[in-house]
Amino acid sequence: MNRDAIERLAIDSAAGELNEDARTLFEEYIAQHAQARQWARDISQVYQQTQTAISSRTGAASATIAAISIKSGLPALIRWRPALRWAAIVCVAALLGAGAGRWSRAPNAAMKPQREIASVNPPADVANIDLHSAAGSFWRAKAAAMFEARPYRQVNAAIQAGGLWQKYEQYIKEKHHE
Amino acid sequence: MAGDFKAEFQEFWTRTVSKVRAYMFCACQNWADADDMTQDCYLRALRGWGQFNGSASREAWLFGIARRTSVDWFRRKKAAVENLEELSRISPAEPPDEKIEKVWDAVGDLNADQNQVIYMRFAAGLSYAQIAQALEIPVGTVRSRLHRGLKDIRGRIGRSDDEP
Repeated sequence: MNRDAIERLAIDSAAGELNEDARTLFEEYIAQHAQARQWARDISQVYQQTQTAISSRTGAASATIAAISIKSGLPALIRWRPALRWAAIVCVAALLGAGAGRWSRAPNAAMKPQREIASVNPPADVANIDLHSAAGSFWRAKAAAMFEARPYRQVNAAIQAGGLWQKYEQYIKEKHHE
Repeated sequence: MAGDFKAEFQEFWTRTVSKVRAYMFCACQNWADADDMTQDCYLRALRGWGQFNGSASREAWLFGIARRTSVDWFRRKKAAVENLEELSRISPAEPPDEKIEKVWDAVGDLNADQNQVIYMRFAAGLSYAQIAQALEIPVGTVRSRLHRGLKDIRGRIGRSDDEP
């Protein structure tokens, strides 16, 4: 075995990372090889020096553990943990809802909401009035015209044809004489 | 439920805090800062307690957090430290023992990868497997970094011993 291999095994042995069988074999090997024994002793010494140096300062850590307190942070976090979680869930849900509402749009014009137009059906006696006949009162004819569903252009044409307009002129004249 | 968690965390804290504190001291060389970093580390562990996936040991997971905490601490400290007075404040306050001082200097001169392994092994007493899990590297890499680190320390101690 070369020096690196011996040193690695020596470090593993010092660190307690060799199993019993490997350790026995390694010890037998270095017992038989003086040079390997020297290499192993050398690196083991460095291992121990490093361990001693670090422990000499950090060993005090366990003696003063009690001085460290996590009371300031730990109980409060534990107490508020479920509440914080629920608050976060509510906030995320609200943000997602707002985002979805803000950005959602109908994908095409056909899906736009249609405006409902209420249809008004006139009573049968009103609907049956013939605007061009002389029967019925003036106001009944007006009401029938109002309920009649037809484009304005057609109404205008009907007025110009003389029926309704003549009735209205007659009404004005009668009123004037009265 | 909360009581169980609290007891579990307290038990974990009691079992591991001395190791974490020693590791933090190695990183910053100052007990006051080491205590702050330890607190920070445990608060992070507390917040991420549920995120532990069980692939490593809980202790190795904690030392992964400890390593990130120390890295963040140094990043913040680097931004805050503006002058040499501040730098001298974070050097060890105790009267130095010459032999120990040499080893500390030698460890301090190692590169960061070797440093982490040395501190986790000697200050925190972690096994190779735990170090590998904490640093997210193979066990073989832990062995080689430890070996190279100790060889470097030996070289530096030897050199300083040779100096008049």
